[in-house]
Amino acid sequence: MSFLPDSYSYGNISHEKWEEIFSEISGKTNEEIQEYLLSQKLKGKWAYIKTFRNNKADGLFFLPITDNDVVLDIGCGPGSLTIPVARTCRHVYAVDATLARLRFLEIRKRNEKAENITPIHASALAMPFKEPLFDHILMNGVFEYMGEWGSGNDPGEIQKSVLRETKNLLKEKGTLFIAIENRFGLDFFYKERDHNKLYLTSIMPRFLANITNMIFNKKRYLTYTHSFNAYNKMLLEAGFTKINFFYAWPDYRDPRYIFAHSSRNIFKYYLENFIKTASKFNYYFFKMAYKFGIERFFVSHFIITARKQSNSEKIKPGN
Amino acid sequence: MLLELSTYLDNHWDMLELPQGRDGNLSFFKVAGNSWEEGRINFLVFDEKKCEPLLFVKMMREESKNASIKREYATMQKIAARDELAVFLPLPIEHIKIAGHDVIIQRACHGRRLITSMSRSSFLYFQKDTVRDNFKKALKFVVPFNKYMKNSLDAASFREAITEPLLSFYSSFEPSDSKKARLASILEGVEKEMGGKSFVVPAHGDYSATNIFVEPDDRITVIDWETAMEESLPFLDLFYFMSKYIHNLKVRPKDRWRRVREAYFGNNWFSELIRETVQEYCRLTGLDIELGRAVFPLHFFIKAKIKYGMKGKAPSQLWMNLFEFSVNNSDRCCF
Repeated sequence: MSFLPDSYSYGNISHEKWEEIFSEISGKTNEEIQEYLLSQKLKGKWAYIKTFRNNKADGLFFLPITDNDVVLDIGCGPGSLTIPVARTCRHVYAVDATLARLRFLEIRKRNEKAENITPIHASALAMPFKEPLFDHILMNGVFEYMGEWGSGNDPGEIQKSVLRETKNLLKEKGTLFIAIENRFGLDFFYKERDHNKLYLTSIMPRFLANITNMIFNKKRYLTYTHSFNAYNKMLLEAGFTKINFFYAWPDYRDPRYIFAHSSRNIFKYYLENFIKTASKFNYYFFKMAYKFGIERFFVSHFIITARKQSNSEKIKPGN
Repeated sequence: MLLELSTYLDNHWDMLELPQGRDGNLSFFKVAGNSWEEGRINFLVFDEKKCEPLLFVKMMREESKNASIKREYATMQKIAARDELAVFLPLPIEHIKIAGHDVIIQRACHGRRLITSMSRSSFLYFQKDTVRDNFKKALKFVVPFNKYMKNSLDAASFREAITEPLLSFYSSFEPSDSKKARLASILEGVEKEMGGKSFVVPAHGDYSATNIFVEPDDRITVIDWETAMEESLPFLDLFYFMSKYIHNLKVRPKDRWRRVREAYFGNNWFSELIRETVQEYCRLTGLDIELGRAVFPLHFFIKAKIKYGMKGKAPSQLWMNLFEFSVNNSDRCCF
């Protein structure tokens, strides 16, 4: 189902190369597709190879998904979350603006015999749904890109408007799932690049990030990530409640460890039993942060779940 | 899924022998697990007011792969039935079904993993005592495990349980006829060294420092029985422990595979420690060191087989290379 011209960015892989890839992988098994992609010299191929790893969707275990639920996966990509969630729910509507990713998902869908997936070619900013149809809406590594898709407006405002739209598509007590970076995550101070492929821009004031991006990338800085408090505020303002933050380590794309931010004892346990042996620098930094109760401001990756506020939960004006 | 699990735990608190007087809600910590097709997902369960986990829970991500969890549970139950071995398991263990998933619930270990004692220093000199001590700790479990669960088999049954599956697996690597014949001869050699009384023992299959907990009272607890085999060969777990340990160290040479080769086929400090450890294992189990020599190359081969089953051919190739090397250099083996 398509609601867009096939004009959205194909990233590192060109249209022509995709045609070649599709002619090679059509009719092949998942294993054969992975072997084919591995054999190709192709920038950006790992996103497609890694999409077959089931652990990418482990954050979904923290959502109360039942086999009667309908799920909307916004920015589904090649199906990292779509395929695993399809095994646990009634139906998944998988939306992406890049047609090639949906064609790739279509092949996976066939291989997995997942008849309950409907791929939809559409923009997250112009969704072809208007009614509250969904029990869960997923945004895995997508929310930060919203600013790039809305022409000219303030990225933060676009993100807020997406949250409001998303809320309207959720059924009463439906849940939103967002996997995203923390703007001030420790990793972004010294080792990880921001979404614009530059270092440190996420932690800069926005005007400085804009100037830096104009110099190096010749365009405005539009891929906004936010702090723990800012995400919380945005979700509350959009009409969500019961907002839960989970820490995902080493990152939400390959989350080997996930736990609720509110379980500070688990953080301590994780610190002593896992981080300590992995990185002394991280260990001492987070040990200090834990001591002052500020670790949530520096954990690099979040999985956030939030429930749509029901009418009875809404605070009346004047209260 | 976690909500249902939480409700189950609340309702079966006593059956799971959990401490009375719970302070807070249950909280789940997703830990590690496998990422590949046959992947498992693991959770540590906390009383959120307490610093140590109460339970360890594991399940397959996909319901269709449930058989593997059932197999693991059955193996652990058989081992738990022996008093000498039950002390090494994180008991009690329960097998339940939640939302279509087979789930294993077991006691959480409270000690430290053996691997945490592994230094990141590149100077072996400062780690020798720890390495030696950890090799001794590894023997604590593997000796009774191989001693008390021996199962005698006649020649035909031995071939059916051991020889044929290994020969059949080898064909995935398209070996030449001479290589096939060589493997068959190694397996015959193992039978011969058993002196006409063929036997099998169970094997953990991933007996490494990551899967061994040293409890606060210095007891050893062995976890992660995912790759356990009920019918396997003695010495295998011990050899794998040593190989993986030497592989995991940060010492020179930096090439981990070369380090393993040089440990077994060179004449360095590791070679001496391996010799001592194998001799001690033989003394305690009553097994002949010649049987150990015959089995030795097969531990690389069987690890390749396990890796192949989980991750495919490419990751298993590295272990297969070690197998080939060990067969070609058997006269230089350090023990």
